[in-house]
Amino acid sequence: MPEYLEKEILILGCGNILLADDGFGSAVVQRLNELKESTPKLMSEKIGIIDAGTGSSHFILSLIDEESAVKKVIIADIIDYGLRPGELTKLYPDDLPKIPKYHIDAHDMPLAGMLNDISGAYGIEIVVIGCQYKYLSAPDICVELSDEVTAAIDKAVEMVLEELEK
Amino acid sequence: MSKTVEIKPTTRHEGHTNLVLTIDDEGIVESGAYHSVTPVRGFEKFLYGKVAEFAPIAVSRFCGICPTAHSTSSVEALERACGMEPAKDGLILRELTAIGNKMHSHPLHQFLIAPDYVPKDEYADVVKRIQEMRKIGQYFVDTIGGEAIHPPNIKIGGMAKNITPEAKEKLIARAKNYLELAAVQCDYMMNLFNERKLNDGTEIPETLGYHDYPLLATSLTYGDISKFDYSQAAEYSPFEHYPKEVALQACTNIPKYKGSLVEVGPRARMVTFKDFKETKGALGIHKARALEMAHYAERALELLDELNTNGAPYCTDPIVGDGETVGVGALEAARGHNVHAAVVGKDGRIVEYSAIVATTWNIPIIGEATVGHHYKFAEHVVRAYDPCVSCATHMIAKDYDGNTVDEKLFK
Repeated sequence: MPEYLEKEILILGCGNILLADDGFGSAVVQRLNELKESTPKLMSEKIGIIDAGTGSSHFILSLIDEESAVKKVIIADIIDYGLRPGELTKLYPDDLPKIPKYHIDAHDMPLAGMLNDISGAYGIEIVVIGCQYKYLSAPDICVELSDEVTAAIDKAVEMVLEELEK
Repeated sequence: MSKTVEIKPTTRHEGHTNLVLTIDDEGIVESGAYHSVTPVRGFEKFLYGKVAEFAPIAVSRFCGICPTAHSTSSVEALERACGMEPAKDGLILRELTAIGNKMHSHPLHQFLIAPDYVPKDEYADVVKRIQEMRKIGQYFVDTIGGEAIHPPNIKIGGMAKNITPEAKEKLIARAKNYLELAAVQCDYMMNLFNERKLNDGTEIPETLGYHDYPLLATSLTYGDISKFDYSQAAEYSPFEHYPKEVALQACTNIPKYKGSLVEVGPRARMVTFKDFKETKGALGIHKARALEMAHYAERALELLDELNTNGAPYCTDPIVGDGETVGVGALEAARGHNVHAAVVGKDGRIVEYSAIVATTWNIPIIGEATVGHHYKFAEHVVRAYDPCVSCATHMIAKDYDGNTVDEKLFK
């Protein structure tokens, strides 16, 4: 199996850098990678940090099964919960949208349903560090985060580090 | 009296594709148009003026499924635009990453069609084998590409890193394991396809999905630009191809090669390079895809044997162009001939950029290939092509779904 399925904790930055604030997850991962040298716990063999971009369900979550070592998945992503732009909140599987039935399709693997599934089936702890977005550019391209979301990156990184302690 | 059937995929997103069919009283398709209705692309324009190194990173975000394929076509195009000679071992590593991507993708497609073909009591075993194969494919992408999804090692001039001798040994062992799994999986799927029956007992018409358009493939496993003349490729507006009411919704251009629509993908490759006899139709594509899996593992073993783990993975030529030379990169992605073309300026910035992604070639063929059979089979034609319209138009996901025939609209 790929090495990332042998990690106990996976940190996934989700979202598309081409759609303005949707690049939040990638930005958090980038910061974590920069902090690796000064933050020993990020260097642990047990932790995988992945810029999951546009493919977390496809290439990671749908491959998790009873053979994987993964015990916890920490996701950094934007949310739309009507909060102040840049406001961060932690979400757990119970908080995620309940999709009663979803179709597994390579082109559309809904994150929430799949997180619920792997949490239920394999007892994997899931936490989403969600950041309220200000601006999403789709279908236009904008390779830039809003100031509010940029300002949230450091705090989000702290929240990820806290989760590693638990 | 003809009726129109519109099969609209269900989707959580705004973007998707439609299949608009006219049928006769018996339900037989008289004409078919398959088209994307995702927001209009124009995706490449934002690259103009950006430094060339940004392109492979950005195009990897075209879509959630084909990041490796787009990064690879992109760096190939940019190297040619800059007249660079990429490092030999870098090219080997790059091809191995692209092969890993296909070693993951093909079994995944068999998972998606399993509900159509695989008997329920055999389902669990098949899915287990598919998962094993996907994991090996992803082991390749992760180990050589540097990360699971958007492989950061794919760079202009080669690959950012070589691998260790230990990693090479592990990859060889896994490629051999894949070869064993692929042999079992291929036999299993071939038997199902040869029976020509869906798992509910419905017989699949022998000529389902037949068409007379030519095939286009440049290589069995990677891409060979010498077999593709970019000046012979042209993109037409949907209005030149579809009936007006369909064209108004359609959001991809219609590419032609040497004046004709072309089919790309597994069948095109297997017919061109492996004398694949079953030359036509939906089942032909399924079979070709099943057969390809072993070829990928065989090629991976050849490449690993050739790889010098001490070799330089990339060349250090400057990444600058002349502002005129069109560099073309063509990778045989899982879904076929994936073309990127680029012009780089003397300042190392992108002057022009354009992509004709694999599924774009197949989109106009898919609709026409539904003609002549009952419309209930149309979705099986669509699915045989494993279309990935997300990158053909935009990253907003398109999907198709086995149950949507129930939602057909009669007008």
